[in-house]
Amino acid sequence: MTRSVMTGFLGRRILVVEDEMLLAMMVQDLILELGGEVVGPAASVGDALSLIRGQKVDGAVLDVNLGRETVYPVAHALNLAEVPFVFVTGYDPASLEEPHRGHATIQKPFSTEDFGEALIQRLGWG
Amino acid sequence: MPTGAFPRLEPSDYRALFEASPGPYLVLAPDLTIVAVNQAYLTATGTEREAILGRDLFEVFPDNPADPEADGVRNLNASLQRVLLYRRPDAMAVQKYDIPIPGDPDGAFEVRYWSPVNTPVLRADGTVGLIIHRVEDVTRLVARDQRTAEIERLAVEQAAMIERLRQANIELARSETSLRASEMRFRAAAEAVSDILWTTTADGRLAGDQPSWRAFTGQSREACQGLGWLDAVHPEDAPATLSGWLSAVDSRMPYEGEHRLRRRDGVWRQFSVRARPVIGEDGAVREWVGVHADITEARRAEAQRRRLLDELNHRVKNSLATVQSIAQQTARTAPSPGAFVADFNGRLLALSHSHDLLTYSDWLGAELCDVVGQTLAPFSSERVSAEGDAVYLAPKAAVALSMALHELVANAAKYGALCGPAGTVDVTWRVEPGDTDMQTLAFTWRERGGPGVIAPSRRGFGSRLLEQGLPHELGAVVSLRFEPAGLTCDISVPLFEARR
Repeated sequence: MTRSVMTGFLGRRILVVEDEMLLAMMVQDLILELGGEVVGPAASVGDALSLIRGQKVDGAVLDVNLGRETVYPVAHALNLAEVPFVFVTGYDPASLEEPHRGHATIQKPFSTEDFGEALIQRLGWG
Repeated sequence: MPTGAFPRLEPSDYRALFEASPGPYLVLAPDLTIVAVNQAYLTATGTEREAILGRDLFEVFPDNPADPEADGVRNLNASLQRVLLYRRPDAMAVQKYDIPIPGDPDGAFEVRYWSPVNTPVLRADGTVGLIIHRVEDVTRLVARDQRTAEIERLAVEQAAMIERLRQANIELARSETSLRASEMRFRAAAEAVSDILWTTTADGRLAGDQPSWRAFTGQSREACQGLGWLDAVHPEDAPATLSGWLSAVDSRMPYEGEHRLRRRDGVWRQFSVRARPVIGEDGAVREWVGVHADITEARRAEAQRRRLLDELNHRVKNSLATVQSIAQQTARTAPSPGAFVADFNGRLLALSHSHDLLTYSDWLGAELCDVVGQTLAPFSSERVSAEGDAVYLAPKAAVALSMALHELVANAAKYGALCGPAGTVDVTWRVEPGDTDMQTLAFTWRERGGPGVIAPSRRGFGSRLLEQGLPHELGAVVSLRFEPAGLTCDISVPLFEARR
């Protein structure tokens, strides 16, 4: 892991929205390793929205498919609050719904290094 | 002419008679030298008496060297030889025997046809003394015959042509019949198939009756005329359809497109459209023939297939990411590579077994007792017991509880009640009464008779899964109590969540 990745994350509060517990745990670990702080993880749109309302968030990692719902309302709220975020998905990035098609996306599964680099780069902290 | 006595002919008169005879005569010796010739013959052949008397017949009249097919010499010689042999007159067939043109500087020949008769003049002893060669120039007759033949040939050709015309007329009549038949077939096909078949005028306007269009759209015959058919096309698709169609008609290029059509019951159906110009023999467009094929179901099936593929892809990727997560978290706490492999394999198998269970139900869900039974299967019923209400879990809850139970079992086998010879585990659960939306699953794992347990100083993957994972994924409340008698784990799951 490069130093820039580490310093870029220092003290950043990152919202994690992921319904699968094992994946949420892994993302949580990765962010902690990178030097960031985890907000959540939230498993649903409702949980995520209440987390955003209650506290300061610097960025977010959003799993697109939350089982019975999609994460787009959270993306919308983050856009309004001007908080940068990346999607994490196992789907084809082209299947993202408008207006998010073409938005920064990390494909599952991912390596620790790729995840850190992608996050730094796409959240604009590089 | 005076009547009465005939005048007596003197021998000299015979010479005059011969000379005056209108028929052309040549008199030959048996060796075929020319011994006498009358004026008619000289005139007919354009020769001079002095030039030919005493000469060989064939030296005087050779074959036309410009006619490779000339056979006059051969035929005449054959006839003369027959006369000498049989001593009888020999009439030859009409001969083409070209004559040198007198005075022609190039020695050219003139085409002539002759009707020759060769007659022997016998001596007293019966031998042939002379041969009278009489010929008649039948060039004009032959020419007339040739004209006649030409006329006959023309007549035959004309007859053939008339016959061909007659046949062509019959063909035409037949093709008119078959054209009518093909129109009828077109109409029958239009009515029989679900596709809509239609025709337009050369300028792309619907004209005449279009039964299959009427039948599908419910438009009246009058309403669909011209460009009226556009009213049945979806308003969003109509502008593109119209411009595409008109440009196809302009360029006389085949039209291909897609649009929605309103069925007579008001339902929109997706159609693919193809049309081709029918070009006449003069190169002009006579009409357009088109087909509308209903592709609504095909599109639906395609979208369904894509959804399934996307879903499959999503699940595979999620499974891989889950395995990755298990590997990373196992690696974080494993004391040795050997321990990592054992723990990782155990967790992977737990995940795999829970998927097996769900596969039986096509991923609709699983009974909790099956989830528990599967996890406890390696142990005898003397060491473990399981009992509880019937609870049907959604796939997510089944996998999560399966993984959590695996951690409890693995921990018990390593450090708890199942590591020694005597300990036991009781697993019980029940559904706490309440409204359907408020029901709770109360699940208890209780170890007895193991080695005395102490709370681990460091939280591993198992406790994290139980204490963080289950609350996160199922909204469960989990308590782990490391009591002297053994570990007790209470899991309370809102069934509202676990059943979804």
